Amino acid sequence: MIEIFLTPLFLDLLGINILFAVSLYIPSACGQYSFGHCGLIGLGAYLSGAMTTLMGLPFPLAMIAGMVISSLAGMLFSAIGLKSKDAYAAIMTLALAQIAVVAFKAIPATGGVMGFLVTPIVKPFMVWIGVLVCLGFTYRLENSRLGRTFEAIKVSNKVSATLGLNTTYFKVLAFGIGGAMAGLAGVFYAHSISWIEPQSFAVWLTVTAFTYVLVGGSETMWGAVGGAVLLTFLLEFVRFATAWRLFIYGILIIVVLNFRPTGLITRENVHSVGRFFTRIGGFVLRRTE
Amino acid sequence: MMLDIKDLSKSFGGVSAVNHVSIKVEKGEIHGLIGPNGAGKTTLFKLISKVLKPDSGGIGFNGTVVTGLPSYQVARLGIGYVFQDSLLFGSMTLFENMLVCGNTPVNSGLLSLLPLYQKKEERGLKERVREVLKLFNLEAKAEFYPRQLSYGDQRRALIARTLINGASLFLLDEPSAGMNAIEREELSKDILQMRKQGHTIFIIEHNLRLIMGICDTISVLNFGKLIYEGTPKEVANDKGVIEAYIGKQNG
Repeated sequence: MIEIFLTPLFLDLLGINILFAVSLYIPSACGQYSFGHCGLIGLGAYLSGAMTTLMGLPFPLAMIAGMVISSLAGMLFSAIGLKSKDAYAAIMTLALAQIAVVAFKAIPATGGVMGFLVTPIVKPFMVWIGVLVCLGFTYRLENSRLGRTFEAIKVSNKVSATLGLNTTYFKVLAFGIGGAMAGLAGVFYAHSISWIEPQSFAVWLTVTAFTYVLVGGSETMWGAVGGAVLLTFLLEFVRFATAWRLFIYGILIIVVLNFRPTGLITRENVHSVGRFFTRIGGFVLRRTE
Repeated sequence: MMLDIKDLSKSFGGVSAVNHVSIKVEKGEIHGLIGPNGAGKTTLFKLISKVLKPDSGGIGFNGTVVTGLPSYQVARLGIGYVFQDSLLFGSMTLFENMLVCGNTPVNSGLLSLLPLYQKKEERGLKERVREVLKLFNLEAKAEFYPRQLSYGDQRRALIARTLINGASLFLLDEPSAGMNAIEREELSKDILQMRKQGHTIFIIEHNLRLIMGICDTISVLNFGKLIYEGTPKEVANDKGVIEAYIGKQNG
């Protein structure tokens, strides 16, 4: 049983899914919902894949380029979405992602509709270093002034503005950070799966990431991480039913959100785990004194 | 002169919510704004803080024209708006709520992620938060979440946060709504205390006893028009003002 989970490909995918879930979570923590995230991960994958495989450039350079392009595209999403609100902004990002998919199809150098073969460079340890760095960054973000600012803007744009916060700047920033992480996920995806095609980055991919965040819990980053881990493992168990994946995800969202609207891992859960460790730490300290 | 509203107008689809209103608020005074429901009081505040854009007219603050500025820049100049319907951010403690301010020496952007950056300023800010919470008699509740605070305390905390954010002019929109008599007493004490520290207060209030007790000047709006301005005593005796209020009672 355990051996199917320890294949390099599975470990890569798990890390990539976690990265992708967190990349969607960050703009949502600032009150922005991106249906266009599939386009962002696709941009990172395509650009980095083309750089290493077609141009023969070194991987680190391609990785940085992939992150930068997705980050910039994310900021563009945000800036355009700012003109409208909530659902309208989300749909706007979806339209942009569709444009990206059409563009991928139109480029002959990367195989058009067929896609192209990328040199598999990535090893699981590289993905997991990326995951740990991003999680560390996000953890710091959540527990900083900037994280509180995001939360304030999510609750009320109007009130945050009258507190002197430049809400436009912070929204674009959140999308930029999320975009960079989505780009990184794309870079790893391209160099791990090693075959990328436009259809890999269609809307279903965003739906998958939303499932991670909604089922896991959208209040903290641990929800996104937990959701990605849980569902990636779950998918391995129902591998026979790959075609039913979106169906299963849909049912899961409905069931979980009905019984636990905040997702499986709530902020309160995270706090109690934190308190538990503080207590253990205190106990150990008292013992050693 | 602190706040200078000149000929300000705003209409919503033909209904004129604020109709050529000019009001001057002097530095250090407590200026009341009263009027029947729908008189345009809240709209006027939203125009000042740029939550809404005025159709015409101008707003000056300490000699700066703020008419074209976005909301957050108006806030940074020192105009603090406490909404009638807003509450504290529910997922943060009272203390953390006080730290959500864009107008302090501590950077709120990407730089704030560096652990050692601006430690000193942050310490200063936290010191200031403790000071202000003490002033509002809330220091014992600093680690409480908003849901653990009474309604009155939550409302007063919003004013405290505006003070931490460096406001010198406070736009208070019905701060006493929903408060009991004791909380209202505390509120008026806080407001008088703030004035003593040199702050200016522009306040919308339905509780006439509160507003008559603390205001230096009162402006009366009715159907978007300024109908009277004077001391509390003059306002209480003005025929037009009484008619506006009694007319509302009959209708």
